[in-house]
Amino acid sequence: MENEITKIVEDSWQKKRLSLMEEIDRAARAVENILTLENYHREGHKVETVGQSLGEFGSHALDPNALATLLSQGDEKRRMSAERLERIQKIYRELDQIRQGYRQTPPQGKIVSIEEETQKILRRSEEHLNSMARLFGLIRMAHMEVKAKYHTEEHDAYFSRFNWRQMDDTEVSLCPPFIVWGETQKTSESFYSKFLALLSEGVPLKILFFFSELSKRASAEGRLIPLHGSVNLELLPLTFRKIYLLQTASVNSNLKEQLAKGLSVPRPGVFFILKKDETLLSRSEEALASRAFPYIAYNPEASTDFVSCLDLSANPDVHRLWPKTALNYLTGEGKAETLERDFTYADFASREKGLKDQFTPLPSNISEEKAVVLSEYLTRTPAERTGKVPFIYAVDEKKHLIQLVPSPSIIAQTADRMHLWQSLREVAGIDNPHLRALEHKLKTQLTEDKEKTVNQLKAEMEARLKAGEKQAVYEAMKNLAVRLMGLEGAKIDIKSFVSHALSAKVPTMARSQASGLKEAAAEVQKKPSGDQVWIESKLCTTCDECITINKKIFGYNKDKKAVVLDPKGGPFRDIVKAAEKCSAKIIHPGRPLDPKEKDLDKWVKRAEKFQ
Amino acid sequence: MTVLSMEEFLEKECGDHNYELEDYEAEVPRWCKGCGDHGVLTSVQKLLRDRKINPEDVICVSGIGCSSRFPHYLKTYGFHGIHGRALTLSEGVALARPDLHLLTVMGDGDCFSIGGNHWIHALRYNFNATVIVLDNEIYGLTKKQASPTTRQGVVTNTTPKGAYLKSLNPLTLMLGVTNISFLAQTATWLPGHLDNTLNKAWDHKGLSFVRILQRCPAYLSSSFEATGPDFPAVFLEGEGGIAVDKGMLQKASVIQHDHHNLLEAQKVALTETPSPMGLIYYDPNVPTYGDIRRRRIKTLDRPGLIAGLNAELDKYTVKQQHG
Ligand SMILES: Cc1ncc(C[n+]2csc(CCOP(=O)(O)OP(=O)(O)O)c2C)c(N)n1
Ligand code: SF4
Repeated sequence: MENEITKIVEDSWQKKRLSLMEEIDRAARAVENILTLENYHREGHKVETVGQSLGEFGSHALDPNALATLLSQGDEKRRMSAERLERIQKIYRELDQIRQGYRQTPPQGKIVSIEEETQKILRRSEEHLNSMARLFGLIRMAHMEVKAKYHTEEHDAYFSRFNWRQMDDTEVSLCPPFIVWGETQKTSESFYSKFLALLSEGVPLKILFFFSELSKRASAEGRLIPLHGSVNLELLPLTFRKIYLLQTASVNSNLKEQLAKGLSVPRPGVFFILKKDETLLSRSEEALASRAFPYIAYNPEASTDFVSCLDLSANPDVHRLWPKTALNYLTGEGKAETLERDFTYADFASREKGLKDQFTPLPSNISEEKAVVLSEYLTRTPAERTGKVPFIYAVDEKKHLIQLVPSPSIIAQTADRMHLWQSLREVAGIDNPHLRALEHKLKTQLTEDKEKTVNQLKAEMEARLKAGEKQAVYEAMKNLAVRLMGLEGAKIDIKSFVSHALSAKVPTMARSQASGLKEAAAEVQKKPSGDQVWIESKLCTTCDECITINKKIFGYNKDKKAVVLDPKGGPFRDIVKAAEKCSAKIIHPGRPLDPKEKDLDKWVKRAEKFQ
Repeated sequence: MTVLSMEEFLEKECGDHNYELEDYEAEVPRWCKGCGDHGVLTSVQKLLRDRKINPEDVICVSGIGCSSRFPHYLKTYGFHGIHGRALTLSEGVALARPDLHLLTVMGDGDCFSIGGNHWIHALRYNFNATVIVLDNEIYGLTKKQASPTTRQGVVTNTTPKGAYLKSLNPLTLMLGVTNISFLAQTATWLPGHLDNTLNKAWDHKGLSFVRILQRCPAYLSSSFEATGPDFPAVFLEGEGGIAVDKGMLQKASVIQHDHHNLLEAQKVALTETPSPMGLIYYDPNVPTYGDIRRRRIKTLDRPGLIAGLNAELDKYTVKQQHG
């Protein structure tokens, strides 16, 4: 069995393993690039390296020493701190180590038996996930280093605490699966509570459980024992809404695909699988049809509402309690005939090897009126059942049609299967008494409403017709037609639609109003009071002219627009020169502050143009 | 405790920081004082700062020229390419790294002259990039040779008797290219308008082409009427277009323009005096080349393709003769 599971896990995990390796590769390559660049900044401009790059010919023509000195001028600034370099090197070393390790021994899923002690299973699964968390922590750090956003003070603590509970869904789904497996025969008494304990921790482990036996005999007291004991495991999603559940037979042709998907979901998963039975190949199909082992897929990721997450569609005739199947038999004259009958759990059980003794032929003294087909018997109330004998159809060795009476235990189990199936259908939104009632109510209401409106409109039309109002008749006819087609006539307002379309504005080219310009003038910067130099900073083109002339007088603000820093920062001469050079002509020199400045008259004159 | 996904975690830890202009400043620009390039650089840096864009999320690609030194001064990823090929390099970057915001910077010589061929096809490919041409109507770096936008009669080293031809109108040319999706014009002496234009272009998905008129103080200081308010310009105003700050209105008047109408746009582009400033043409629905190609990659049968290629190449295998 363990080999078989290893194979299932291996098959389903293969693709994800490639994605995991890619993820590690991507992160390792990213930090490797940083290190290569850093190495270039540290070593790339050394004389020998430059000489090598120039080659024999180049080294003769150019002076590698001079070139190395020139090229390495900015290197110091480009290098990263020793601390960061060490950190990145460490991330790379660890990632590379894991990568090499995985190349030699590919990461594999872990498989443990459900017979192991619960706490031990949980501990091992968390250890497994935490070893993966260490890897994903490194990957995250690598990506942060690429963006140069790793800050020791902020992030060291975060990453030292990083464990599997902080991993995101993609990361969890890339972890090799942790499988807990078991089978029906071996199950010990405490199994179910263990099952619940494993799931309630939220650890994304996967429970793979195999069934071969589908029916239980009645216990000594004759009380009913349901398939999974006293718990309905099929309804587990109602208790644990966040788990993934799949119940299917191993002959299901999509099994591999479904397992691959299910085993990688980032949440706990439960898989009930009906083992292959070599003796009777049609058995799993019958188990499915008879609702003995219905197909159930519950994927909480499928949607935000519960109903859409539960999928029963692979079961035959989902809309019926029991599916209709054909029973072929021979008549007394040897003619082949077919009987369509409901295929119940009892029909399935009657063909199971060990349960033959649970069925007896319908006694011949029972009148036709007293004998009732089991599927119908089960839908009756207890009062209606009294005095009736339930039976199923079957064929004997000669292929003749016979009627068999199931034992009380089989009847009880069939009733239980029916109830479970109905419950499943209700929670899957397929069938439900409230829905049925609502549907009925709506249908009657709609028919009534429709009839009423149609009659009203008819009467109106006739009246108008009599009055000879042609246009009105046309309107009434249109209304009637729309109603009969099921459209909401009132919503179509043709007239207003047409007039709206005609009145739509066509854009035109037009000069804007002078008012805009007036407003604009108000927005323009005002000359400050006083006679000092000033700049219309808003219009500055950041051309560097003024600040190159005098950095003390002119400077940039935080938007890199020139402003006057200090009017006394230099001679009036510089201010005038700047005004002349200013590419936007927005520097207004004002009056000189130092009357003793040389050639002042000349500068004042030149400044006039810009005041 | 809420679990942050790796993406969310990185976004939280690495994204949305407050930046200063200095965070986008690399070397001190070697441009002459008075050069319009300074203003464009500052405008781009302000855009990045105001939008809190991580420097590492941007790549600036250029050709050769004074203006093409842009990537050296903008502290983002950068690629100083070769003369006339900024757009070819950009296309590769756009395809390989759609996650980065691509800014392509060229001069008028770089784009309209030696790069003319690539210019046309880049527009038709409509890859995702903000493309700016710093048009000073001259070759600056090589010290005053005529470029396609040099005006008739202007004396340069290559046209000592004055440029013979009428200058090229790049706007009308571009509006004749299939798939053009965004065309705007602005000038460095209209700083607020320059900022708004770059912002609009930045948001466009596809190739947003912005021609920025600017003065070269060293070799053609007389151009654009010395960039004063005297240069005849007119602002284009239209719904969803480029806003004209009130302060700018003293520089030029405003006309209404429907930038979704290609014929209207062509008409506007044809008018050189006054020079139209603003969004000339805009069609956000043209698919980008990247999207078209990536859509195909999804359906591409790679193993089949490689097998076919191998089979084709095998035909040319030289086999060793034995015996
Ligand atoms: C293939 C090639 N041809 C010619 C040159 C010389 N060259 C360098 S820059 C330049 C023109 C620059 O003018 P522009 O593109 O307008 O940029 P600006 O310097 O004015 O900003 C030329 C012709 C070159 N570098 N490569
Ligand atoms: S010279 Fe004029 S435009 Fe240039 S930076 Fe100074 S104020 Fe601004």
